[in-house]
Amino acid sequence: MSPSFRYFSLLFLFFINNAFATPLAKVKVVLNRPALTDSIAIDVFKCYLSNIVISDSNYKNDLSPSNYHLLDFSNSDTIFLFVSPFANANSIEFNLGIDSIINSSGALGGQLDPSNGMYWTWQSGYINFKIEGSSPICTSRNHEFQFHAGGYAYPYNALKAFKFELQPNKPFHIEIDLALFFNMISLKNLDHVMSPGPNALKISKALASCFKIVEDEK
Amino acid sequence: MKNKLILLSVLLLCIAFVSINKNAFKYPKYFPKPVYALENNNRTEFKIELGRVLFYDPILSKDNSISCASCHNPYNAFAHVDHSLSHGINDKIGKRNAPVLFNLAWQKSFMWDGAINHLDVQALAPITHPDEMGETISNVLLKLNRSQSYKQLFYKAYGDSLINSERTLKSISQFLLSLISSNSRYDSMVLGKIKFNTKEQNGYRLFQLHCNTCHREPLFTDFTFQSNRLSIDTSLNDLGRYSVSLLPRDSFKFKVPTLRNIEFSYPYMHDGRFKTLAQVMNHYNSIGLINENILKELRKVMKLSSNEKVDLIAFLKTLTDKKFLFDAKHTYSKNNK
Ligand code: HEC
Ligand code: HEC
Repeated sequence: MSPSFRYFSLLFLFFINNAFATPLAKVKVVLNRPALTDSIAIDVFKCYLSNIVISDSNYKNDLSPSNYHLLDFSNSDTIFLFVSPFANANSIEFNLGIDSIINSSGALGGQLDPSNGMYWTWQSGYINFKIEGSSPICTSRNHEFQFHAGGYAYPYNALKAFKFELQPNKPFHIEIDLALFFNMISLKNLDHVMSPGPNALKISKALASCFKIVEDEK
Repeated sequence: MKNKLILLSVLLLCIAFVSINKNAFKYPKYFPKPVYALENNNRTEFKIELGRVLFYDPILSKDNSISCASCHNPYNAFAHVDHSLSHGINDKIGKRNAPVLFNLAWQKSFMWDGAINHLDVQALAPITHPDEMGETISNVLLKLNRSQSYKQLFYKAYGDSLINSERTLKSISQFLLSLISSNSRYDSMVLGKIKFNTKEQNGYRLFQLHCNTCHREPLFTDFTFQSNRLSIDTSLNDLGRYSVSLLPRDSFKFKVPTLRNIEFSYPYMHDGRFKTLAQVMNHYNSIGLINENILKELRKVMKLSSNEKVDLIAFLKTLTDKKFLFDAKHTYSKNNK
């Protein structure tokens, strides 16, 4: 079992590196304490970030074809993401989840290997993210909640696309504040999502609301 | 010297040509183009052999008791005979009847409800299903990696002995893709090699009138999801296509199955409720099947006489492909120990 992030306030760093591995800008993911009175313990938080593109006014740094990153917040090896940057980048784009083309491409390896546990075997498709844990608010067995979001076919395509503007030459990080996720869904009424459909869309929207770009102070 | 060189290059060319030809995916001219993207999974004899060994190996199940072939029997066109619902590890009973396995390169989606969208990922479903093989893919890889003979088979198929899920799954696909059934009496008739007898010919006429809209020639399915108005089995309450699409209009619809080798793939329907083709005929006759794809004025309620039922069954039996059913290349391999 992975560690339990009780009252999580963890910090994860993505370094955007140049060819010589000197950090130019960094992207970090922060999980803040949720603004809830009841406690929430998180056992699993995994998500796919894909199709990361960093651009300046005349150049796009598209990281394809292997631009699929599985982030597992219990395994620090997966948190590093190497991107060759350019100093005056002015925007970053990425998706939360896996696009429909990859979802219908059969057996793939690496980050997309179905043995990573982020693939639904009984109804083909990638799981865009997993959030699992427990809270006294949940009426389920052992007060557990288990959210697996995915689905690539219309009208239940759960992929979320982001585009953030960047200040040239300023270091930044991406922050994911899961408190907003738990504020948007009510754990009392919803503690399990395990397949594509309206609820998967709902929790995808909730997680998407947690992403923001923060400029680093310096 | 020069002559020898020319001779040598001609020889090499011939060998190259023969080996390319050997690996070509062959099918009859009157079949449509396959949908499986073969360019992403090159066909080779070694991959097919590896897939075949995996198909017959219970190593894919948790307690090493069940192989793919436990539910998909080669002598029954890879259907599960005698069981209306499939049986898995610890004698657990599934909720559906195991379908035939052939001509899969033409199929866009798999399972009775189309829940699987690509042949490569199909095997993951039975391997991980608790009522089927109850295993995890990571554990399968561990077991395969411990086996010296699999190391050799992977080496032959891929040029090194790395064993991962992509290679394992794609090899199983290669074996499944090699299962092509196109040598029935019907095929000989299409090719003009034989003529149907009067019963078969009359059955063919009735088939084209009443059945061909869904069970479309030459693959005998149009790959859509339809209802053939079976009564709902409340003990299973299987919603069919609805469970994938979540569209109310898809409730109780199932994939139109192929009718090739139907003589040998009993019991019939997604829940295996009919044991004989006569029962199937009686079902269609009792609902008075109406061909809804033709002009309203021409629509006719199907009302077959008993002779007509016999003729229709005689036609269905022309879809039996003995060469396929008893092909030694599809059975247990000498590499299965
Ligand atoms: C416990 C019995 C069982 C085992 C073991 C099993 N299958 Fe199946 N298979 C089934 C059933 C039942 C279905 C239909 C399931 C459904 O529609 O939900 C099926 C469906 C399929 C299909 C889809 C066919 C179509 O026309 O849609 C393929 C392909 C297949 N199985 C291949 C395999 C392979 C490869 C293995 C071994 C890795 C395997 N099966 C192991 C019972 C089994
Ligand atoms: C409206 C489309 C449609 C038409 C027309 C139709 N069928 Fe079917 N047929 C199906 C579907 C769908 C199934 C699978 C149903 C299920 O399992 O729930 C099926 C199943 C079958 C099966 C069982 C196959 C198996 O592998 O289990 C047979 C045999 C069959 N049909 C024969 C016929 C014959 C003969 C006719 C013409 C008299 C006919 N069908 C007309 C849609 C159709």
